[in-house]
Amino acid sequence: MDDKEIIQMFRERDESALAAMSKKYGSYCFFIARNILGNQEDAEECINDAYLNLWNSIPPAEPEVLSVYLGKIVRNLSFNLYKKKTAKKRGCGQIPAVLDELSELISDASTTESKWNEKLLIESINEFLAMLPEKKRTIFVLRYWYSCSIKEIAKKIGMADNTVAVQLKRLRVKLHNYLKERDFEL
Amino acid sequence: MKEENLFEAINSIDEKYISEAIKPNKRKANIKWIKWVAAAACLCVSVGSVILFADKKMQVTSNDIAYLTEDMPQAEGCYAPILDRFDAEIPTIDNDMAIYNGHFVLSDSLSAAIDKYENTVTYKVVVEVFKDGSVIGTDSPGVASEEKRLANEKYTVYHEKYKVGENESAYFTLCANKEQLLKFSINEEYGYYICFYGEYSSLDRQTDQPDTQLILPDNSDASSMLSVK
Repeated sequence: MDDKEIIQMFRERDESALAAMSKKYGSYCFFIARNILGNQEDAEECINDAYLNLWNSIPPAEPEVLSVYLGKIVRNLSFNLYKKKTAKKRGCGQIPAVLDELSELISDASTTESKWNEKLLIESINEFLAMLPEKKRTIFVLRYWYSCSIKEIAKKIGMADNTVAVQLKRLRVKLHNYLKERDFEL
Repeated sequence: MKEENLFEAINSIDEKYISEAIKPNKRKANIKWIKWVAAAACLCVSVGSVILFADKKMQVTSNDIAYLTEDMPQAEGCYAPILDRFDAEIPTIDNDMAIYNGHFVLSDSLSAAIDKYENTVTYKVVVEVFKDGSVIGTDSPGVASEEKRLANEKYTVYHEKYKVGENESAYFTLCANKEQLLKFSINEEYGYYICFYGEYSSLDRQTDQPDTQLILPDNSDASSMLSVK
């Protein structure tokens, strides 16, 4: 079933839209949620919440790319649940490692709690991604959007684990410098 | 925590990059194995026995999984072109092609080859193992246990490792007849995508290597898929 039909079913409040959604994007959502949360039960909880969220948002929302629209909801909900859970205990997904890596982008010396202008930050990250060759961009997005493990990325793009890790390291340094040049307080 | 803010900001990157990262054919496979396997087949033909490989760094483990390495001897001019073009794409998680646990899918090219050659040949295939809809690494314990299990179920199983430059690739491959493929022995914990080697890389097809696939006579020595009569 194509996405337009599914969206139409949502508009018509046809509950079978949820089953169609689950059939088509269930494993995609599971992939995102599992990478963040590291366990099936929590991942399923987030996915169910995401479907409900989607049900409530369409209409009026009109997603351009349904998979990514849903994926973003899943990523957000999973990360929120991750934060809730880690208030008690560290999770076993990829997030601790991903966050550790992202923290490298931020200088230890920085004590400023200044709020970044999120809109500008997103624009700058997009500009940075646009400059990268596709393969490097894919590595970046798989790691920091999909929270894939290094091994999984290596397998997907046919590189050695170590090469992926090195590429990521370089990308982080590059992004750090790129953001610094644009006066972000890191 | 600032890294959390950064993680949250990344959520809103351009959607085209989010889609791009998971589109099919991201992986570049290493076509060189064909040369090695074909070369190995050549040598096997000339000597007529797999014993040759024992001297050339192929280790055969107690459960009959052969470990091939790049040190395999090479020879030229022994390709076995069977299919003109491989159009199949590796299943990816951006559509509903991810293989669910307890299922297996044969690639279109493999299905076409089975229709055409039926039981007259043994099929040398690459097995991609999926867990919860994602491919798991060939060097993972999950794949190792599946290799052992299938070897015990009379499949001729290989674990192949090649290194080209700094890239190392490992492949779980096996030789099977028509029946063994159509009624593939599954473990409910995993999903399987079974294809010919080289099917999942459009990039490699642009090289000057011919598109080749080794399909060997079924009546060859059962202990070795590499011996051709």
